[in-house]
Amino acid sequence: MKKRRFLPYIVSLFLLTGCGSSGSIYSNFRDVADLLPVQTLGYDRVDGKVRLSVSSGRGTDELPTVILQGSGSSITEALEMVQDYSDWEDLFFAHIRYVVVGEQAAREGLDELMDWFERIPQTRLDVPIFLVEGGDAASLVAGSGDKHEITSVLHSLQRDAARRGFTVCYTLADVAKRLAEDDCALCSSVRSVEVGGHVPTSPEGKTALESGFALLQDGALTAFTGEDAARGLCLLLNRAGTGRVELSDGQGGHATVELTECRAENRAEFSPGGAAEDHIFLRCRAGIMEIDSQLEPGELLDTLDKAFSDWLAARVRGALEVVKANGADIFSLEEQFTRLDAGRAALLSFPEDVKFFLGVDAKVERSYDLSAAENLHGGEM
Amino acid sequence: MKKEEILSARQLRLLSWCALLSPLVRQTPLAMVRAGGRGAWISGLLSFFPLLGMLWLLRSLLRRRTAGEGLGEQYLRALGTWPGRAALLLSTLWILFYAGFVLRAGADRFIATVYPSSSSEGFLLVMGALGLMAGLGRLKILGRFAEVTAPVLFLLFVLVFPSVLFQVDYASLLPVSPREEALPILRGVFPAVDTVALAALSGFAAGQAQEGKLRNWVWTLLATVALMTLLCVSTVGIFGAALTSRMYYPFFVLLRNIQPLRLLERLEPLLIAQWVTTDFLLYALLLHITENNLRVCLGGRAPRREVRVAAGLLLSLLSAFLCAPDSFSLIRLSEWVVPLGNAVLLFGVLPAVWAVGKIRKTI
Repeated sequence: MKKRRFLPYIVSLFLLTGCGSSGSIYSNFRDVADLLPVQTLGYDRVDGKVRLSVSSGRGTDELPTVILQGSGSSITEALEMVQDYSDWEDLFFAHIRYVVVGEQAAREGLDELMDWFERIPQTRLDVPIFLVEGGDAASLVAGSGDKHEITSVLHSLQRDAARRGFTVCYTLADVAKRLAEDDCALCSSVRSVEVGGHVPTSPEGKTALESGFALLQDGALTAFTGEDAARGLCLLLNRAGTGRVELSDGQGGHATVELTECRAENRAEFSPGGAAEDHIFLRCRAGIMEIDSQLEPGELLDTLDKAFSDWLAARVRGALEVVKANGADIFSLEEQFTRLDAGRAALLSFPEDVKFFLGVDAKVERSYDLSAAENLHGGEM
Repeated sequence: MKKEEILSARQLRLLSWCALLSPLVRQTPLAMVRAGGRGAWISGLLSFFPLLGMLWLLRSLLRRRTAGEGLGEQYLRALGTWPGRAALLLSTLWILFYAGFVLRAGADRFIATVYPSSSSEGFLLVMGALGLMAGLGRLKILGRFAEVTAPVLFLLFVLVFPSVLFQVDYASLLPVSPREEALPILRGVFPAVDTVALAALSGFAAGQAQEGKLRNWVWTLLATVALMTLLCVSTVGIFGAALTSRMYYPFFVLLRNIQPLRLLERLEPLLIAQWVTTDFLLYALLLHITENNLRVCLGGRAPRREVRVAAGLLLSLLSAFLCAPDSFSLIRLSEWVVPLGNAVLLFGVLPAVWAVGKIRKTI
């Protein structure tokens, strides 16, 4: 009896075959040295075909940056072509850090790309995605070369976004989530520019600069917002961070202020006449980072407060105009109004049929230099 | 039964909980979010009350048992010998089918999340062999294994949830409109209750365990409800209800996208592999239950224990290989047939046995 009990143990040893067709326990083994981790993936569509460009990340002396391209009728076929031209055994996609999509491809639709990322177990969804305004991904990925390698550029851009404010790096998960819920989403956009004299030590090659947001609807790009409207959207979405604002004193002088507080609240309601109204209240506070003005202190603060308020209102109105013009319900207004009165909400289009009312409470409340503060207030603090 | 073969109440409780994690991660949050939408997390909380009722029903069924008796014996006591044996046999056949489904679903999960180009036969045979070894052994060993496994699984959640909860977009969860979302939330309670109530099957093994305090079972139930709620909060908070509904294994997709302590990446194969343990515990428990039920059904004519275990293994493997020719059929089974079958057993047959037993004053 005891010997028979060991029979299942022995049988199961033969069944521990790993997960490959060769039947060897080592069939799934891949030497790390033979893997080429892809860190940035570029996606374009050219003449109805998928074109992928991959970059392995910033190189070292022993291991320079590898940039490859391939085309095919599908993402899988394009990757096979890239693999064919690769000196490494296996392209490894588990550590993709950034996805770059060309404008043309984005206009044709991102469903195929999103589906591939959602379906393949190797890939992650918390990968930031950038749309290239006015260009294609391959030129940016290849054009950056190894001096301004695209992964490093996008990583720097992502850090700047966190530090600087007024920019948000949306991930594939963010975009997929919003498209699934509201059929529209925002996505970070970049412009491909020549480095030139901005980096005198290595002027060749291209880099990416942030250029606001891209508006996606039904899985495809419909418009770029531009930087001003993007700032307005960040304000409305409470993602402004510590954004910096350039203000004019109206007399040729200027001041740079940094947001210390920014909170947007909205209240959706139906008016007595049945119109859908969205009352937006924006409260912002800022501190002076830099100032060059000849105005008297008391007058200067009042001027800055008004300029700050006007700046915020202009950005927010610009953002609302872009959203309305494209019929993009970025703020989930349909859901808010449906919760109030489903019957009335069903008769409306969002956000086109919504009237927006904006109230701004903006104040420059602090200067980081005590002596300047004395000057501003015309006396001791 | 010898003293060393009797599970402690704690071991039975932990065994039930660990085994429950196998269907729990498959059904919640997916089924709950599909039914309940963004308010699925409230469905999780509300499910506590019907589950408490289920716990009460189970204890009531087992109240007047003698030592060594489990739910199977209560069937006979409540319904009479032959009707009881027939009902128990039907229940056992369903449990065997479900055991096969557990094998098949576990293999499919592993293929879908970690090993995409594999086929299921290897997984089925290995798990079947492991189940056979566990089935031939004592249930107490399984209970001890559960005592070791439960803290590991608990630590896994401790590792995952803090990373996730800071990234949750609470606007995806709140506010919840009572008027618009009350009905979906109530619909979401059913898959939660249907899944967690599977722990009631451990009542069939109660004859091999000490009786535990009700208070401890209630705490375990509370912990399970909290876990379900956190699963819903995590997935809906990060992916939204609409995207979560499209994924087959939302919790495992979540695991792909976390970076615990911002240091560790791509932990999902290690974490997902822990669910093999839960599959094993559930399958082994079901084999023990069917072996015990067959003994009660067949009475003096029951074959030896090894034969009963082997019969259970063969029938469950048959179910595993034949229940779904492809992944799409398996999904339909998982969405409709299995929840319905479990509901019939747990909310139809068990209450009927209780009711008849109370009328006849035999339990």
